[in-house]
Parts: sequence; structure tokens; C-alpha cells
Amino acid sequence: MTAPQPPGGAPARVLVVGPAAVGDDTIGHHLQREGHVVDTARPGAEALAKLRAEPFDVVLLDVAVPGTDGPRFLEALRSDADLADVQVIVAAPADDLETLGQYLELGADDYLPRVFGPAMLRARLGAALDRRRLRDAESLSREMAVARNIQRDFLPEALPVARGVELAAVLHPARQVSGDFYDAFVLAPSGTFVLVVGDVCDKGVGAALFMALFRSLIRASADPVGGGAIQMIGGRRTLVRQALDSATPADLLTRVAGFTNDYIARLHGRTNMFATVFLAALTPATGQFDYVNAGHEPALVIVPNGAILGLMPTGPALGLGPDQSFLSGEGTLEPGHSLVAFTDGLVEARNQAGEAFGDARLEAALQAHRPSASSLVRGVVETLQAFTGPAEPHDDLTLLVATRTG
Amino acid sequence: MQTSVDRRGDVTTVHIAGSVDGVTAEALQQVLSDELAADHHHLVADFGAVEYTSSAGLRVLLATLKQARSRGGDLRLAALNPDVRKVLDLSGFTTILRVFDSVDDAVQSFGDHR
Repeated sequence: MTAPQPPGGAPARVLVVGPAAVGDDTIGHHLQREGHVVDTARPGAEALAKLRAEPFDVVLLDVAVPGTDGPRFLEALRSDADLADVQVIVAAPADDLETLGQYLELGADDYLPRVFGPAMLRARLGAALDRRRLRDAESLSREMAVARNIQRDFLPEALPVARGVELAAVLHPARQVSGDFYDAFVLAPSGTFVLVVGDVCDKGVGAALFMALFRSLIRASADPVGGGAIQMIGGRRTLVRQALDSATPADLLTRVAGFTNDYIARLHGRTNMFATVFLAALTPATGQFDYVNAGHEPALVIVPNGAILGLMPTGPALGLGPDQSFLSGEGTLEPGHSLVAFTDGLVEARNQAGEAFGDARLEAALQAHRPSASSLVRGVVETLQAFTGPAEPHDDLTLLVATRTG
Repeated sequence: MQTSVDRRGDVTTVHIAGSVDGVTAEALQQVLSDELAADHHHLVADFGAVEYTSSAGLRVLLATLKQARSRGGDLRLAALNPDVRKVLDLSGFTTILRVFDSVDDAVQSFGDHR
């Protein structure tokens, strides 16, 4: 049997609490006819147990027979923080203002005269459900704001500074939380900059959780001492440290990519999450850099008034499966040259006509701006915003630029 | 996005049309999961009419590929347009998935060696 769809949307789960059984209970009967899911309980322990066991939207507290159970039950309900969002409607004789006042003071949300028509019941229930949805939305939005703040902590607080290279970066999440990330940190004692731009598959909360994981695996495996992974390596700290010091930046990057890939593929394979990541190790004094591009949009090397070079993938996205091999590439930033890494949210951003920003517009914007990292980032973001106008972003957008200053 | 399914021998082809994005990926996952649940492990995804796939779509392919292989089958792709092919090439999916020019080639490939 298909339940009738209640007017005004999805069926509500209503617990009718009162002395009457559902069979001869007019309120419960009406609600079921309207398509709602109705259960009954006596005020007190039985009703509280049902409310704690199953998610009810509304309690209809029938106080037709005056007694002490009703107020005590409402007090207990309102003192349980887990049940704070349940809406309570009191059904009482319309002329019994004293009883109604008592229940409203105890925390009932609304009341219904004991003698009612279907329209009134519908209106009261509809209003209760609206309040319930509003509370749910508010509580979700509070949680998302907390998540957003915590996620900000997974991005570098400040970009490293060194003579010879200027860094600038921007990340615009399409929603409250982002699956994109970037990172930039200095390896001691060499002073090498490690630059990272990543894009976790899909969007929303799932991608955001994995963003934190990918970013932390990369940071901790690239820089076990500075990155806080000392506990992981325990007593072999010195040994690991020596091994890292002797590794070339290219070795380090391929090892970081392999470690992160295997960790995700082996420990989190069931979730089928992966990330495309561009990693670079840049020596500020010389402009020399090594990179690993794990399935990511080609990063670009910009030569003012010259050619644009794309740094193509040197391995697959991280997490597709264990034991993938990653190669590295290398290059040199001459003074005035920039390394530009970004996520596909930049080139795939669409205007209101549905047209994508695209590689050509990005390259023109990069060529049009002074060779400084901050002016490149600002210029690209302004060009993009002028292009997309008020269109809602459909993907996160990240841009990280390193410019060799001399 | 729309899908339709046909079977030749024990090879099931899922024809996909439109865009596979964050919203439609779930529907595609459902179609492919239903085939796997029905013991259809030799799968061809016909991308001939797919204009665009986001990373959410790639995630569906990864999930289906792993499940099909764990049951002795495979997921193979056919008829990728150049834009979709580029996304799969860049992300490395073409190194873990077999890709064919046509649906016929992909279906026949299951007969070659199992």
C-alpha cells in the first residue's frame, strides 16, 4: 500500500503522546490519513524511550485528560539536549487557558484546540515542520562554519619568504568546504621550497576530509622533522634524517608521491578517493626546480613575452591503486619567470552563458600581468571574475605562483 | 545524463549520454552497481555521447573497475571524445583502464582472453 503524500511535502514522523490508543485517537487518525507516520506512547518513560530510539519530528502532546504526567514528561523532554529540536504541539481544550499557558511555559512550541478541523491540524503541523527544518538548517550551517575554520588551518598561515623567489596563492572554495589545497614550506637545512597544489576528486564534505589527509601525508612525508611525523618514525629519527638529507629533491618528491599514493590506496581504497597533485621542490637562490605531476593539470612556466611551457603529468593521480611509479621532471626559473600551478576549477570556471574560461584566456591573463607572483595571482583572479560575472562557482579554485625575482 | 543497458553474450554495455558531474555521477554509480549486483562483471562503458566528465565521474569508474576486477571481470571504456580522453589521460586513468575506439572493439576484447 502506498501512503498518501501529505500536502506540503514529505511525511512527518509524529509521536502522539497521551492517554488514548491510536485506534480511537482522532488526532493520530487524522495524521495517518494525511500520510504522516504516527506512533503513540504514554507520557513518561515510554514516550522518552521512543523519542531517543527513533528520530521524530513532532510530539503531539494530548492533554485532554488533565494529570501530572504531561507536565513532568514535557519537562524531561526539554531537559534532554539530544531532543532539543523536536517540536512539541499541545492539544488541549480551547477554553482551558490555564493548562495551555502552563505547557507553553514548560517549553511547548505551539498548541491545538482539542476540537479541531483538518485544516487547522495541517497548518499547525506544517508550521512545526518548518520550524524543525529551520533548526536543522541552522545547526548544519553552524557545523559547516566550524569545518571551514578548521580546514583553513590545513593551508599555510603564511607563505615562505626567501631572497630570489616571491610566492603568492589563492584558494576560493565553491562551497563552505573545499577539496582543493595548496601548501608551501621550507626544507631545512637546504632552504628548498616545497610547493604543492592538489585537487581531491568530487566536492563537498567527503573531498574536504580527504584534503586534510592528502595535505598532511604530503607534508609529513616530505618533512618528517618539521612536519611533526617524529612519532611515526620513533627511535629511527636520526637514520631517517640522514637518509633524507642525502636524497636529491627529485628523489624526495617521487618518494612523497609514492608514499602518499600507497597510503591512500591501501588504507582507504574502499572509499575510491583520489587526488591529482602537483609537487615542486624549488631552490630559491638558483631557480632550479624538480617536480612530480601526479595526474594534475599541467603547471605552467611563464616567460614574459615568451613561450608558455606546460609541465605534463609524470605519474597517475594519487590513490588510484597501490605501487604506481612516479617520475620527476626538472626546469629552471630565470629571473622574471614564473611557475604557475592551479586546479581545474580555474580553467573550467564558466560564465552565465555556460562558456568555460579555458587555457587560452588563462594564458593571455598570465602574459598580460607584470612578472610578480602577487600581481599574477591578482590579475588572473580579476580576469576570471570579469569573465564569470555573478555565475555561481561550480568547483573550488586554487592558484599558486612562484616568481623568480633575481 | 541518460543511460541505457544492453547485453551481448556475457558482456554488458552501459551507454551513457550527457555530462557526468557531481550531480549525475550518483545515478551512473547506481546503474553500474546494479549490473555488478546482478553478476554482470564484464562491463563496457560507452562514452560515445558523453560530453564532459568531472572527477566525481572518474571516481565512479574507479569504484566500478575495482569491484568488477575483484569478481574476475573488468570495466572497459569505449568511444571517448577528445576532451574526455584528455581528462582520463592527464589523471592517469588510461594507465589503469583499457580504452577502445568503438563499443564493438571493447565488447570483442572480452572474448580474446579471459
